[in-house]
Amino acid sequence: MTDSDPPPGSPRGAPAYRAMFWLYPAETDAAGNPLVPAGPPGFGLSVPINAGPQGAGVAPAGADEGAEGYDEALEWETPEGGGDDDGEAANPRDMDLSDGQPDDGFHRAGDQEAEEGVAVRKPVVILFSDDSTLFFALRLRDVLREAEDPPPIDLVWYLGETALSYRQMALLLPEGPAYSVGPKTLTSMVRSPDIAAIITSRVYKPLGSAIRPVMFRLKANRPCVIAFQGGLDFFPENGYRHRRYCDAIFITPQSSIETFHSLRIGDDASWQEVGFGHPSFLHPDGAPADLAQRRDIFFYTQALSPSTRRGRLHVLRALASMARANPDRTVWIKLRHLPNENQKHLHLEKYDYPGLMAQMTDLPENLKITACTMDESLETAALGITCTSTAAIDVLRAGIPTMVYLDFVDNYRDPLVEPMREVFEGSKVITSLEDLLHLRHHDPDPEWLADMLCPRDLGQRLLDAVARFETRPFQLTEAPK
Amino acid sequence: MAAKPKPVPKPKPRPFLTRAMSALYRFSRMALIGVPLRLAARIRKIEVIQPAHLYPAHISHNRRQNGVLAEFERKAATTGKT
Repeated sequence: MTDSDPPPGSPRGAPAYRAMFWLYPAETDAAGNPLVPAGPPGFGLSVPINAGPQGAGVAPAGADEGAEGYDEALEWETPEGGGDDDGEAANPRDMDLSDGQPDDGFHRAGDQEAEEGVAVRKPVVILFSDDSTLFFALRLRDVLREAEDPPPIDLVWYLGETALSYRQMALLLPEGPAYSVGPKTLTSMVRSPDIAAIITSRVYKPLGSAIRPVMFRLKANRPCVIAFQGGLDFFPENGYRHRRYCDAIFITPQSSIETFHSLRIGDDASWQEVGFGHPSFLHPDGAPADLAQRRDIFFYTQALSPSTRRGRLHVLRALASMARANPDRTVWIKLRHLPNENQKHLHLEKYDYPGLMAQMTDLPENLKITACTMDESLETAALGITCTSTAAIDVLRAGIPTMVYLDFVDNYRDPLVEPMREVFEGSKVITSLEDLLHLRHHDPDPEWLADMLCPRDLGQRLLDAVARFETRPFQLTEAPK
Repeated sequence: MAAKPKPVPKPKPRPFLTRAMSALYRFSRMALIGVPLRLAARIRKIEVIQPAHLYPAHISHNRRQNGVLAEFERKAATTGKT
């Protein structure tokens, strides 16, 4: 190694860029394996992103591309045991994607096992970028773990559209993601022969562009790209169009599969399956055993509904009255995020509830605010109330009485009210203000529930779809060189 | 004789509305013309001047909801519990 060579673990690149890695070399453990990507502080993450037991059987990848505001110049890779013979780390820009074994810096599925002669199992990757997609990823991971012989599961943070606060990341995923990827690396991942499936609830632009060409979709030895809906989809046709090039699409309700086929949105040039389900839309097992003893009422907020200040004040007044009339109960306003948090989220909250409550006087003591997770709230909730939030489905899934209140003041200004009414038509959970105030809830209609919420074997059905994808007929392989 | 290469098809023109809206957005970013456009866009978003608030059906809806809530609050105040 000459003086002009970069140190081991540093990427190739412009001289100034290389200089940063002279100043800030990759942190390594006792065995010399990188713990955090090399680079200056302030870029990327300040904590080891691969810390934790995430993705059993899959070693950390360390494919970080800097934090949001992704910049090509900041793309670096310090894969464990990766790099060239001369000690240089692989750079994703140097990848040769056509040879079936790209030197892309990703740690290959079961590298260690392969070395030891143990059967290699490809991991399943679940992408997330904001709180909604992280909830989805965590739920899907749980669903997949319940399947028979689950594969290694990697929760991968997509940095191209990230909108997560540190509080949310620490609360929801304290062990950290398996690794993080930027737009370019995501495009490369779609061609990787060492990933079984890439699962997402949002088809990010690079992913959508990568899977669009027919020849790519016919390619052998690539991951199965599976798309779910984000949650309750009020305008599903748009969502179907975004997902039309995916190998498998899981949608809800069950009756919409027929609509999907009748609209001819799907692509007929390659293998594609349309299934029913969503990890948040699982059929309830029954009501919780301690439901009768529970005293907590949760109101699940939504960023966009009610859309006016007057509408939100009306909802707050109703909740305060409810709390005053039931002093033995606690009415919790469950915030999706704290004020001033998630300012880059797709759905930005204009009037936050803590701010509005601060302006109100004479609020009862048993009306409280919480920013706990949905699962934590479902552990103690006796009743769940929401306006147009997907939380209604979460509460139904948990077998807890649910109320969907859509008749708030200024509801005619809210574009989500009518679609929500349409989705919940026939469910019997849409509640009038009188019933809401008197806590008179109705059991959901079983037929509607069976159409909306999928059986609990979703994980197994998903893995079966991946297996069918791998053995699908007419796959294109690379020409010999 | 080599076959004549096929002509490259011209890209489909974007719909009129898309082009008009793009132009409007472009104008709104300009230094001088953009100011009144951005101002008009902000005024259009002011909640109290929305015509929807003046429709009789909407006024009666709000009145009904406020009435139900006020009645519940009144009863709760007199009886202590509904």
